[in-house]
Amino acid sequence: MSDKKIIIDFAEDGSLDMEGHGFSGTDCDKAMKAIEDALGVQTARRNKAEYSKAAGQRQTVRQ
Amino acid sequence: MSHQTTIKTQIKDLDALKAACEELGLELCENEEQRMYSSRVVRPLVIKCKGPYDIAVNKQEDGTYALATDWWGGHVAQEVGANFSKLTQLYGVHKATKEARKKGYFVTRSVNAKGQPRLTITGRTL
Repeated sequence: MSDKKIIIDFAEDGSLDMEGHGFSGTDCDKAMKAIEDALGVQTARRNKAEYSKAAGQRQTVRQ
Repeated sequence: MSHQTTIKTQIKDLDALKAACEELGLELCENEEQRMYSSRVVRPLVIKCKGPYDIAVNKQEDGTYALATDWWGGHVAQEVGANFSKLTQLYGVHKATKEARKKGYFVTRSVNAKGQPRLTITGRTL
């Protein structure tokens, strides 16, 4: 079972915060983009440390 | 975690808006009279409120919808929140739920520590 999840909190001022958990590299972009675009206009974004890890690095570690 | 984003909600989906209205016990109507303090005007889309004033749902040039009402006396604020806050929150909840389910994800609704609606989206295809 995947540990990935997206959490969305809806604020009173009409904005919402959306956060990806358990994703690796840029996988979160694809998962979250459709929902982000459907909801409105992005006003801020913060990449976590995991975002910088490219998915390809996992294969290198396994070898 | 991977990334965090803040979105300003834009109303684009009338089905989601209708669901938000229903959750607040209100009705989204077509070609209906909007009641205001000193006038009544027929609008293409109106949210009928329980109090004396209604909310116009006006389509904008960019395809989004803007809400407009008479705030006098606090009647509308009591039903949909100051500056449409409750209505906008619930619109976002219903729109995000709809989009996530369209992609086959599971959606769980709860309340966060601040008392705000929260959706948790999971699924094997995430």
